[in-house]
Amino acid sequence: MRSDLVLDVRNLTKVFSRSGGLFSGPVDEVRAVDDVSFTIARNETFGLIGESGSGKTTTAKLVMRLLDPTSGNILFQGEDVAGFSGERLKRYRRDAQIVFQDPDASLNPRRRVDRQIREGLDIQRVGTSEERDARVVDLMKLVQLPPEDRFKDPNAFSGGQKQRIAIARALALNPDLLVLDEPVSALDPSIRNDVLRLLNDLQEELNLAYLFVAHDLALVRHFCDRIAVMYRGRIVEAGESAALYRSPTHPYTQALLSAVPIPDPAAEAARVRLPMPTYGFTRTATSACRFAGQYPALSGSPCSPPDNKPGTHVVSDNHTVACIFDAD
Amino acid sequence: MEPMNTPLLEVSNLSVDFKLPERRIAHAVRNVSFAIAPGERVALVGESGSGKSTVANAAMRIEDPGELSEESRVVYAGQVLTDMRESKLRLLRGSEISRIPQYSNNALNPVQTVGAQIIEAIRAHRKVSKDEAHDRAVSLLQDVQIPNAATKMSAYPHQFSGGMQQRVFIAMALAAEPKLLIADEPTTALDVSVQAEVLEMLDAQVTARNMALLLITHDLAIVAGRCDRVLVMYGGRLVDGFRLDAIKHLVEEGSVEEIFSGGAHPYSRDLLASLSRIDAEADNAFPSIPGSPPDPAESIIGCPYRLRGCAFATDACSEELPKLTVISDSRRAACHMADEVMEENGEQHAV
Repeated sequence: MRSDLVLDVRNLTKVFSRSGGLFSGPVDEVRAVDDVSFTIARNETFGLIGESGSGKTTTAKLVMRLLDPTSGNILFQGEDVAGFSGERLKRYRRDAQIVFQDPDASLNPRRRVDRQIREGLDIQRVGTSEERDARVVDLMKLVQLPPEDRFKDPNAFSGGQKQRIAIARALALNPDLLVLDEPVSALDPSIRNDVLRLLNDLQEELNLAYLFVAHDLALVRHFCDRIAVMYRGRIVEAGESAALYRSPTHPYTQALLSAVPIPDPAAEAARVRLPMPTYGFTRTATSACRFAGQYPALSGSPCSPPDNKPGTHVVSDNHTVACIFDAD
Repeated sequence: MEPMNTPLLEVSNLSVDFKLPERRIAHAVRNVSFAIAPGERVALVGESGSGKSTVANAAMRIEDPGELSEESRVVYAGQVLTDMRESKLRLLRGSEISRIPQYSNNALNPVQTVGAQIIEAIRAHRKVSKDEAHDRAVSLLQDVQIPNAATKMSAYPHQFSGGMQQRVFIAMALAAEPKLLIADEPTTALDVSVQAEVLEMLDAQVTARNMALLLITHDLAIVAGRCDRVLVMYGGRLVDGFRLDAIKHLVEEGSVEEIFSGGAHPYSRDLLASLSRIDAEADNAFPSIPGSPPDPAESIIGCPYRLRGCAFATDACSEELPKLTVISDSRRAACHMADEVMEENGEQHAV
């Protein structure tokens, strides 16, 4: 195991069940996250991609311990997050931070930004009040905002600046892990890259591990070191971005990537879009391939038996696919 | 621009103001002129606050259209919309000109079946019997590729996914067989896979019905394979306009990439350079455009884009606002340095 591993997620599963009423127990189950494993090291950006409902945001919430897993482990620097309570949990709340998609929703519009940035410091009682203010000044500089603007309300800032404030707040307690849930999706393209460059710089400077949840597949290729593709709760393919994008191997990954538009008329004309599978949630604990039965060509194939869980095949160094068929 | 035979929609000198608190005025759209020919597909591109949606809202007088200037003129098929009575304009909206709104999961009426809502849209513009309207609604749902259309008529919106709800909106927009379809960020909130399917279906309908399309979007990537012409807005003004079909013949010469990633205005150039391309090897430079878009309530002397770190800016740019000028058969641009920009792109002047 790498000694610089920050997060080690093993066989993580989350089942949501809906009760049929007071006397009738659970009637409906959704396996939102199903046997998911991945690791993130220091200074590494790990991307989780997939469509709405694929389980990527649920995975992020489990990592943040905003939800409890049904089974499996989340090891943070070697310790199981599920066992944290009291002081240890409080410390985890410093070490793992999250930045959400929309700063207009995540920041309080009526509260001065310095108060919001130092909120974590206040709650955790870090240093004196003066020291906390000095920390806010440092954080403003770190996210490249003028420190004298810290007494203003969020409304005095543009969308990109507000997201910088949300990042400053996430960094206040010196975390090791930052969960970035669609952090630039709400920003205009000209401003988006500013925030991405800032995140890259901060990672290098502070040795951060990033879990990047996104649906912009073109951007993920350029921003993440490694990527996992989720489909109906499972990781169907994972690997280094360059390798995965160069040779997507799982039929789902191939279909997903083929849907991404290209800002170039010639490339766009040559692009062949593969049919997407029909979508749905997985409700039973079957280990069968989530993808089996999606295409007539695969029906009656070895993919269909319920006890035939697709094994993980190595496509190349640092690139694996969960498919019963060999990569070739 | 090449001369157009009787445009379907002609917008000239459109300026739109909004009143702000403290007697400030936001000049959301300034002096915008363009035309759309029958069957032509035009993209109106810009960032949030560039005025792109305001152009369409003001032209159609929908939502909050703002205050139009005296000179503003919008002509649809020979009829002047800008001084048309609301009752008459209402007949045009929906029947001749339809609009697909940005996807939102609460835009359909949650307590009415999907079928009833489409039937209502059909009967609002045509005197047809209920049975006829029902049959027509089913065929519209088939056109927008909703499986088992007949049974889906009695479904409620919450039983539909986001992509399916957006298809219903497209069906409603198609109900009156409009000649011009305005699609304002039609797929922005949808998954990329769903976006691709919805856009492909929309393309097929626009072609089959020979409609003109005004696609309003911030996403240049979805414009590439879809539109004949691109109009770029910046700070309420039209700053660049170019034909994509006119440069199609250049594909063989291998220069189309430079041209599309160019534009004759530095803003279009920078905007395209800032896009991550899925077909490109990783490059972590992430170029951006410094600063933020101009405040529509502030008046700027000279070219507003020089304040965004424009690489081509000269003294002239801080003194005089560049006018939208014809540069070649296929291109107009509002830039003092358009010749230099094109030269940088390696493009020949005479296209």
